[in-house]
Amino acid sequence: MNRLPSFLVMLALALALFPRTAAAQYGGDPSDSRAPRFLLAMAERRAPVPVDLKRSWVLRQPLSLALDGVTLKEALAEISRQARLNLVYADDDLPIAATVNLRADRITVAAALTDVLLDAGVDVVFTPDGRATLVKRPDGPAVQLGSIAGRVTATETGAPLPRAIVSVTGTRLTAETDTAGRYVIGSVPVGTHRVRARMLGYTPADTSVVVAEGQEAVVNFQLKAQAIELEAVVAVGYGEKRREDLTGAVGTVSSQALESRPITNTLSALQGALPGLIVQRSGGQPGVEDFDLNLRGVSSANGGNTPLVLIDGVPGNLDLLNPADIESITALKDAAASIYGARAADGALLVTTRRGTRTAPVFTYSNNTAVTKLTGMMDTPNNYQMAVMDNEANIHAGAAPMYTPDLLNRVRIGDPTPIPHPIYASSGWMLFFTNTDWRKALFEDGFEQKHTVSVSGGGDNSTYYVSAAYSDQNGVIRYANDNNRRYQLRLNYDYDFSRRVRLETRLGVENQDRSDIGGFTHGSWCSCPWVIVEGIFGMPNHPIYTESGQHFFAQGGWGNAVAQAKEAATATFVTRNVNTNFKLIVEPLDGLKLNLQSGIDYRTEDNTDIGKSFPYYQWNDSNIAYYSTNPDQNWVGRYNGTTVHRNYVGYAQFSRTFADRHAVELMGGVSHEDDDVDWFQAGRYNFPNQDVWGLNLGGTGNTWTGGGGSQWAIRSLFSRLSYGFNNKYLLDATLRYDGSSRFRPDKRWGLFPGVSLAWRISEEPFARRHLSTFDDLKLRVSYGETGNQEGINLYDYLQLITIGGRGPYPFGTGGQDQSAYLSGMVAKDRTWETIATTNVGWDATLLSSRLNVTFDYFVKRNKDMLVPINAPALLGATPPFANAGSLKAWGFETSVGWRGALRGLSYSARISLSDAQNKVVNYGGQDTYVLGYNYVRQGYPVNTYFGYVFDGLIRNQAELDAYKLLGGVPSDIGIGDARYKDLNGDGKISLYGDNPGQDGDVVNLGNLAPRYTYGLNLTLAWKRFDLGTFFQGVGKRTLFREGDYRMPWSDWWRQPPLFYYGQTWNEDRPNAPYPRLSHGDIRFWNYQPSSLQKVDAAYLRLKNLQVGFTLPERLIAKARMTHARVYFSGFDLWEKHSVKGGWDPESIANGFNYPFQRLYSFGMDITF
Amino acid sequence: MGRPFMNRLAVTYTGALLMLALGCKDLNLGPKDQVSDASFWKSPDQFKLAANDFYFALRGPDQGGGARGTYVELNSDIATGSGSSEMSSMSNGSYLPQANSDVWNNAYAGIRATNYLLAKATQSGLGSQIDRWVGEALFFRAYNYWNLVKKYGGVPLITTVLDVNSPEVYSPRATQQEIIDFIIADLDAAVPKLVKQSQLAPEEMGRVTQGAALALKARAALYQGTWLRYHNEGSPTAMITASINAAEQLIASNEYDLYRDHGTDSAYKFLFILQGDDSKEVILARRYYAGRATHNWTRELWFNYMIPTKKLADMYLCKDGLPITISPQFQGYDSLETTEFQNRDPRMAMTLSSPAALFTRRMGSTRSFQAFRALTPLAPATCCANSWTKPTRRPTLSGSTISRSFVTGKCC
Repeated sequence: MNRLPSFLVMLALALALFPRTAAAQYGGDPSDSRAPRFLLAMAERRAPVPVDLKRSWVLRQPLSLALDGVTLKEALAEISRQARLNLVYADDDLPIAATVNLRADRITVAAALTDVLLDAGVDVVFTPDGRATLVKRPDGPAVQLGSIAGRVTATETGAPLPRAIVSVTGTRLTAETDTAGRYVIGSVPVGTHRVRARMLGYTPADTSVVVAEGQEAVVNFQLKAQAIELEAVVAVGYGEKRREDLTGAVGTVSSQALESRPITNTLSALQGALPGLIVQRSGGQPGVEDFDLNLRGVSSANGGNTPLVLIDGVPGNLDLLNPADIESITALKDAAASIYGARAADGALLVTTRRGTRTAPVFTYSNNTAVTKLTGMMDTPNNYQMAVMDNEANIHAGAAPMYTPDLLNRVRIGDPTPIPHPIYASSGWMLFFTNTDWRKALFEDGFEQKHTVSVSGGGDNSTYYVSAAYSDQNGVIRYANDNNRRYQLRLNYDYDFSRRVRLETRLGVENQDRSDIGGFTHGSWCSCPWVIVEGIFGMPNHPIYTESGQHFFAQGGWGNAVAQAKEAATATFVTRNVNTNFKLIVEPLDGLKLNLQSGIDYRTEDNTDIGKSFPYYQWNDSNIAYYSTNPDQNWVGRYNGTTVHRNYVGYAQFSRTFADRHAVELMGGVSHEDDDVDWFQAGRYNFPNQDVWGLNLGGTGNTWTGGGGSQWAIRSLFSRLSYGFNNKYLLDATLRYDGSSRFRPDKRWGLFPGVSLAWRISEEPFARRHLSTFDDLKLRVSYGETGNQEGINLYDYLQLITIGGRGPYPFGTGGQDQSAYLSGMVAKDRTWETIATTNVGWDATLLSSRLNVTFDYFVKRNKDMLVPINAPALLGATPPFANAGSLKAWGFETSVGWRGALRGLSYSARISLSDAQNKVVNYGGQDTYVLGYNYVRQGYPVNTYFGYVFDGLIRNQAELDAYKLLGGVPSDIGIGDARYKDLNGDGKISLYGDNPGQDGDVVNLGNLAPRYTYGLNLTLAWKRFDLGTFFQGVGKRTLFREGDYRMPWSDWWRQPPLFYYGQTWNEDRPNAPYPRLSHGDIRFWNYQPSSLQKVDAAYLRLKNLQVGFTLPERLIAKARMTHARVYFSGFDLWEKHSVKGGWDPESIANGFNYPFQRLYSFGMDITF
Repeated sequence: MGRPFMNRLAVTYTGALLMLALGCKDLNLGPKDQVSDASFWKSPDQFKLAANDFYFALRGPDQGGGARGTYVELNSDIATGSGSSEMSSMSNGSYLPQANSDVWNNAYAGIRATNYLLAKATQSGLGSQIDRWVGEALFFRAYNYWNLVKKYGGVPLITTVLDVNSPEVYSPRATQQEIIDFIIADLDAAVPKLVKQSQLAPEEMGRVTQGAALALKARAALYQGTWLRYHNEGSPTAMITASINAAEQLIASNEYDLYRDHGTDSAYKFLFILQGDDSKEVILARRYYAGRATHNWTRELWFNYMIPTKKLADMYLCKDGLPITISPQFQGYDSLETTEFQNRDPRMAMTLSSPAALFTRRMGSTRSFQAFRALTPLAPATCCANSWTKPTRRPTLSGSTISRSFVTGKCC
């Protein structure tokens, strides 16, 4: 205790401010008969009440005393002089001549009085006129005592409210309710008291009660739910704050947003839940949704752009966390994130998991069972529609239509007898007239289930929360094992060694077993199993099965998606995650907390992919046409990777209020974080047996192996000063100093400051008079710097040599000689990008806490973004990026919440809206761009689309003749083809300007960034029924058709999207909006990137709809349940948008992704 | 809970923090799957590894390899291609000067790598132990300059490893003669450090030899000699003489011979497929091997990445050694099968596939090109019928990529 580690600078500072003897000050038991009691006499009470020593500024004043053998009277005189305390007593009541010895520096008034008045048989009574009177202690109990007990329930539902706080006003008597909502406050002085009950998210209530000696007064409270579920205490970096003390742009999501949703992934629940947080997913495959998390738009062109996620203070991954274990999520969006320094360029998400309460065990069980159905996928034509489009495309290309009237008729009636293909008969092809709906053949409804069991509770010294979850998602591909199973365990155990020492442990075990179609997983141009591509482009005229029932070899290059799904072996992808997180909290003195935390994550990935060999057959006979993989080249590939992520943090917090109005909090500490990855892979070909796929069973002739690893570390010092004056003016200043292994030692360390200020206008006297509708009104302004090191490789400052990077060179007869080359130039001067965020915002709560409004406007500037340097190619290598560019992003977030009640009906609504824009201000002067999407171009937002301006179709010969006069127009252009504007009037359609500075005829047509993203949450509760809806949408979004969405007949062997059927120019459709179909090259002119491809892709989506019913207690009491609710919950049930052609609002632009699904689920939540 | 407890706690706390401070790795971390330059260049084997990398600069048909070396004919009027606009633009006359050129960039990247090895060789103190790898570096530096000089003439001469701030990155062009002289000097220095073809161990087949250096020297000198002669830029004698001397030295070494297997009429065909591998006629070749180092050329030819033009077809002489314009043996253009290919240099039929030619499909069956003329109703018949053939030195069997190409019936 005497000598605490001095290397914690802030800790030492805190200690210097606080006397080492102070620990003893409040150690005495107030009922200890030897010591004086400190009481407060109040006019309306018959008996004085105990004074809360912690809150009494007078008694906490520090004194310096050197009393050596003086009389008690002299000692009291000295104490009252130093404390400016008007101390009154009758000499007869005290042994005034007794000798007193007390030598202490910075001892509090209370401690000093306790010391000198020990055994004097007096109490100190503070009177309303400001005097402190020493009165002789009455015989027997000084204060007659009774108790107060009762129950706290919710007004609307009558449900008990556990963990509500009930307190006797003006005293320090408080109690917390148990799970049944019950509380007992003992040792209450006899008299009339004001009792107050409060709980997060509910309006506080108070009432008067008369306590009689030895009696238990019963006070029951019914609390009304408050307008907005505001967490009273919000996690901020390395600590927590009361909501009213927040100075930064901080958003929170409570567990309610995650409850009863048919989701297995936390990230999908976060869509639209927090203003400014954008969650996008690229596919609907169970376990491969590829969620992209972004807070407040882009801040760097070099990657990152994802907030730092901390789970219980340790950097982690939300992907595998059980959503049911989450208590709350806090987003630090502005300078508040600066406390996380070099990795918080895009803010931080602080996730807090649940913990137990000190009650008897509470068991919960919840389950959810869902059926999933496809939402939109690119619509494809049936055989007849395709035949018609093929004929048109041939005619417009100057060729004879392949489908003669007779053949077309056979297609129309679906003649089951194929004929030799009119063109490719010599290749053995057939022309089929039947129609295959590949979509129907390949996809089916999926199925999901989820079960969660938890137990929580606690004893005198400890609390626990234990949960186990199992979920199983079956994908929508028929026959295939595209499943994802998760097993999650969590143990959160807190133990108090003493009143001042606490250990918090968090242990999470997460296991994901995903399976996929072996050998066909994740094609290079689709983040989905290859069969999705085959399923979309499976030609409607190809049968699935041959005449004799074998799998037909889909001629023309496409495989048979059904055969692949059915025949392929199952690939497995296993991820195992063990997170340990231990935190020791020591509070040596009141107001001083030392925290020591270690969080170690251990993650392994173990994947097996199998390339099984199976045959496809030709139509007419059952000859094998082709094998999926050569029989002697079937293969197994194994991958194993391990990541160990370690995080150690030590920090001290010191808080103290001076003169009752200067609230000061100091925090400082150190942390070290490192990450270590190792992986290897191996594979073999030629497995003689296709049932067992052990790697050892493969042939030894042709094998492959590989391996690698990486490591990085970051070490930090951080501190924060918070100051609040009178609860009105609040200041937070943070400073972080980060050193990263990615930089050369002399460029390694960076300083990240942040300052935020808040003014609680509602606390001002004038506001109380004139703005009484506002319960709370706060103005905030902040400036903070954070860093981004994501665009930087791990060891760029070292000259490295890559071995084997180009594969072997086969010297001799197939030798596999390795080779070595320099891995790029060394980046000696490189350091992190610094993002400066300025934020202005306000929060308001008004109309008796029914309405809650927040607004924030921000500007982010990446001041030294890494950009490429121009150097002549004579250098012989690509010069490393340098910190020379800049990017600006700006936007706003706002949310409005309302909660009200109407007779028995309570309702709430919350809408949030946010926007973010960006511009690459300086990209090192590089100004190259291509037609279509450009990730970076100086002067434009990232992902800007450049294209020609579509000027309608050429509708007649005169228009054609006129247009042909322009240069750059293809010679085979005709009526029905596209016209583009010659914007610069140079008589030529050109991509780039002919003179420097000119942009040719290609202009900025928009960018990918979603604008005005919003969420709308509505809830209704009536008696035992509850209804919740959650809408999510994007107000403005531009989509440019890409890839195969872009063009009908991009290739003759690839069917056109149905969207173009009847929509393209033809002799009989002279006013059609789209250019004519053609197999000729003119299609590349007609459907190149232009404003024709621009689609308004704004959408509104019903993300979640819940209808629940809580069973009556009398029914469930027999089963010893305390709460039981059954519900229907749907996910992605409905959407509104104006994009044609079968499209899901969240699908990627080229139309290839594992289809998203609507979920229809039923579930129940039970508490025992 | 008194002082002893707090004291014990304080000791534990201090100990834990000390463990934290000492137990952590420091911030000087290195890679786990790459070697640092400081620890490399210590042994001859390491120099050999670096030299191995130079061989990827040898022109091959690698897709994505950058130079697309084999498609070099697309830069002329004897071939056109559908691979990309950049490829076909030269032959169809729409070529515009490019801001960047892979030929240029890759050559200087190669030159940097050779300069780096040569600089490290001087510092290494390994002396003659690494002579052979120094010789290979000199050869490939010359080879890279040779690729440049053929396309651009005089180019900036870079002989050291440059940094971003080096003034040499803004070097002016040297003259063509200076570059040729530099090539010859490098090759002259390389020859004594290299081995003879016959000294190559079986596992070294394909490495640069004295013969390769001499052959390159003969070519470079001949190129410059004839350039001087026909551009009237000076006396060609010295260059021509140097070329003759190098060639005679090569011939006199008796290391090489013409490939004569499979009969005179077929030797040309077999030289360029599997059978011709490592024959006496090969001086230096880009190597491939099934399952180890493969290319995709068969597929690319199938996709008409490179198509011969009529000019090339017309350039083949008739059997009497006369051009078709004057040879009585020329049968006219009426039919590819029965007239145009008749009485021509046999290499014509071995280079261009005639409609009757058979080719082997992946599963072993054969098919004639005849079928594919009908397959493409929109394209001129010659598009597919006049495909290149004999594409590959080794069969390519790289798994599903290739197999997919064979069933994708896309042509033209």
